[in-house]
Parts: sequence; C-alpha cells; structure tokens
Amino acid sequence: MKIRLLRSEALRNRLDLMALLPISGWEVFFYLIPLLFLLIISFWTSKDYDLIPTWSLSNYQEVFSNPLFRKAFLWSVWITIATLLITISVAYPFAYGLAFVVPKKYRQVILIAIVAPFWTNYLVRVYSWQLIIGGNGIISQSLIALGLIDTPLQILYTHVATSIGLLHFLITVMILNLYSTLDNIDRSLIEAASDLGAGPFRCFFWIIFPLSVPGLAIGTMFVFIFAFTDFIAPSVLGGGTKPVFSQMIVDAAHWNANYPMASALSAVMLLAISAFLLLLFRIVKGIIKG
Amino acid sequence: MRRTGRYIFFAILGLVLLFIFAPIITIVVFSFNVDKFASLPWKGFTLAWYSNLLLDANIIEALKKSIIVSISVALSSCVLGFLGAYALYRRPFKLQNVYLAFMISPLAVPWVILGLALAVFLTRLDMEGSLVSVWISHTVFAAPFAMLIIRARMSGLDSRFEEASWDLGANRLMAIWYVVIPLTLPGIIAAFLLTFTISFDEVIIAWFVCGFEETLPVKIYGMIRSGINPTINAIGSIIFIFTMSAAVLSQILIRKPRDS
Repeated sequence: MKIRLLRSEALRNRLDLMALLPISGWEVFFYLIPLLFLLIISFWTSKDYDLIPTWSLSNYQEVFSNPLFRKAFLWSVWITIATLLITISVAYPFAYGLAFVVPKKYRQVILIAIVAPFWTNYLVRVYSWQLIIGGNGIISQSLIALGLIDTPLQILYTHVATSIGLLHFLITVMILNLYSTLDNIDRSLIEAASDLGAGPFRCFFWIIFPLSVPGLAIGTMFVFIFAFTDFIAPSVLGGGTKPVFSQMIVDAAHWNANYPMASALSAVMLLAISAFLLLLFRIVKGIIKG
Repeated sequence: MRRTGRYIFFAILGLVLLFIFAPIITIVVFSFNVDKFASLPWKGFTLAWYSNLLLDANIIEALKKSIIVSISVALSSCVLGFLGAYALYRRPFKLQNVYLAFMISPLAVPWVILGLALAVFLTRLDMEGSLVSVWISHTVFAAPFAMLIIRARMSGLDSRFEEASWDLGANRLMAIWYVVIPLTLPGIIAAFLLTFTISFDEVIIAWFVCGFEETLPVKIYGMIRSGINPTINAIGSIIFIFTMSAAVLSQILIRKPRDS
C-alpha cells in the first residue's frame, strides 16, 4: 500500500513537471536556438543575398573600423544618456511627491492616469509627436502666431525628436519603478531620523535615497536597454540623416539583406548592453554597501 | 519650505500629465480636422478620415490579420503560461531561479535583435512570411509574460483547495478544471488581455517576419513612412480607445484582492 502510494507520488511529480515542457520547448526552439544561430552567422559572410558558412572575423572588423557604424554607435549612446538623465530628473521628484506629498485617496487615480496611455500603441504615440513638433505642427505654428519665432521649428527629424518620443514612453516606466520602492519605505525610519534631529535634506540623502536605489537601478536598466535599442522612435521621429545603431542593424538586414553583418552588429549591441548592466550592477553594489 | 516643495511637485505633476496626454489628445482632435495637414488654425469638423478608413479594404484586411494573430498569441500564451505556472506552483525545484531568469530573458532582448534572429531562423525552416511566423514570434515573449502574471495570481492560492478536491475523488485534470482555473481566472484574463495588447501593438518583430502578410501596425508603419496621412490619426484614435480600455480592465483585474 505504502509503496503504491509512493510510486503514484513520484509519478505525480513527474507529471507536474511535464507541464513545464511546452513553454520551455517553445523558448528553446524559437528563442534560444535562433539567437545562437544569429551569433553563429555573425562569423559567416554574405554573397548575392546568400549566407556562406565561412568562419571569419571580417564582419566584426568592419563594425569596428567603419566610421559610419562608430558614429551611429556614439549617437545611440548620446541619445540614451540624455534620455536617461532627463527621465531620472523628472520621474524622481514626481514619484517622491506621489509617495510622500499626495494624499492616499488621489494616488490611485494619478497612477491609472499615467499607466493607461503606457499600454497604448507605441508606434502611433511616437507618430503623433510629428503632429506636435513638426515644422507645421502645433508648437511651431503657435509660436509663429505669437510672433516669438519667424521660421518653423527644426526639431522633427533630429535626435532631440527621437529623445522626446523615447521620453514619452520611458518617463512612465521610471515613475512606476521609483514609486513602488519609495512607497515601500518604512515611514517610521524617517520619523526616527527627524526625531533624532536630521533635517529634511539629511533625511533624504541618508535614508530615502539609499532605500530607493533598487527601484532607480531597475528603472535605469529598462530605460537604457529601451532607449539604446529602440528602432521606432529613431526611424519615425529621428529620420534617416543621422542614423542610430538600431537603424544600422535594420538597414543591413532589411535593405541590404546582409544578414551576417546585421548579426555582427546585433552581437556588438548585446555586448554593449551587458557591459552597461555590469557597470550599473557594480555602482549599485557600491552605493548599497557604502 | 514645505509649501514651496508642494507647489514644485504639483507643477511637475501637471507638466508630466500634459506631456503624457498631449500626443493622445492631439491625434484624437486632429482626426476630426478637415485640413490634410495637422496644423492650426482649425479648419472645421469632419468624419471623412474615419469613413476613408472604413472604406480602405487594405486597412480592414490588416486589422483582421492583427486580430487573428493577437488572439492566437494570447490564447497560446495563456495555455503555455498556465501550464508553466502550474508546474512551478506544484513542484518548486532546485535552480528554479536560473530557469525563471532564462524565461524572463526574452523580455530583455532588444526586439530588433529578436526580430532579426527569428527572421533568419524561420527563413532557414521555410516558415517565414506568414501570419503563423508572426504568431510564433510573438508567443516567444508573450508566453513568459503570461506565465509571470498567472504565477503571481497562483501564489496566493491555498494548495489545500486542490488537495481537498483530490480527496473528494477528483482526478488531476478535474481538479485543475474545477478548482485551480476558476480561482486563478482573474490572472488568466489579465494575462490574456495584456498579451493580446502587446501582440496587437508590436511592429518591429512582425515587420521582420510577416513578409507580405502585413499586420495593422506594420501597415501603419508603412503609411507613416510614406508621408502625412490623416487616416493614420483616425486609426490611432480608435486603437488608443480600444487598447486603453483593455489595459485599464486588466489593471483592475490584477489589482483586485483575492476573492477566496
């Protein structure tokens, strides 16, 4: 009797874990293998739109020596850092106010107001900035009507426009991350600190800020990856005159059908992301320990 | 000090909300404008762009394809995600964190790269350029997402409910069908709505793998590239209202406290 029970128990265990198979199989077959294959063909070459399995580093040499790629890479980094800094400096006071200033009953409404557009079509949202910041757009037209400027604004199809499109999406991400950590801070810690004579500034720098670092780090991670790799905002708002790195990948793959080149560019992009994440991890570790 | 801090905060709050809603309001307002270019002054009210949209067979066709793909993605993601979440819920195992990290990683890989990898891979298998390839590709990131949402809901589920039903004579499948699924239903519905929304919105992966079977976002992307076209404003307005309601609904379902 006991043995039979045990056997059915073991069988049960196995059956339960079998439920993990479909999703794992899907991810291995349609995610892991394609990514590994991409890595492999980055060492191949392309001739007449065909892949030729020769092992060489020529694609990587091209990526690092071609000034076009180097410029695109630097532009991507530049847009990403600018977007990240603006996101943090706007989202931090916002999340702080939401967690510590706004009465509880209004918080939910404000959160839903911020989150609702977040789920709507990113492409259309990016496009609608064309209507606002374009030469014939609302801002430009209003400023001309008010006599503040003579010629239409030249923001659209620049990196500033790209950054505006990214900010519109990423500010929400950062606010949500920061708010959830700030809201979890134990209020008695702050009270204790002020009872012991700490002013608002010392309270902030010694208690609130260090405790908000995890949320800040996760938000930064997301903002960095998204801003660095997004293709929609650069192609719809940034235009094609000063392409960023993701546009280089799409150009190589889609327009030139040079998949090995596109793969090598992708590998470099993934490498850059990993390097940044490693750096971020180190900094966060330093702050939390120090 | 307190008061100035408060004023600064409310100023930031107002500006951020304005910034976030500006594009949405703009696109809805200009979808009713007579002028072909979205510029001031206002030229008059029209529904012409909406009727253009309804009469454009290509757009309606793309919309149909998008809905088919998104529903398939949401369904397959919920099935795969539910099974995965159930296995992790019943039998936690060693290295579970490593496994979860692997399952979450598709959400962190840039979509340009995921699209490229799938385009190359599916071409090798002669499976590219169809709605099936879009479905496969979207499920890659939607299924783990659904698994995380359903798992979060399931973690609040008392395992004794299911065990009680076994003692009362239910077999495993009956217990899942009559006990586990009803109790995690809000999570499953939320996962369905969110994966539907993400798939319905996704452009770049679909653009890489869809070939000539353009989904709606791919179609819109093509229209944007070919220049100003107020019909885009009309589509955008409809999509905004549609996805915003789905998103708000799923938010409410996720937040709702346990009813058990």
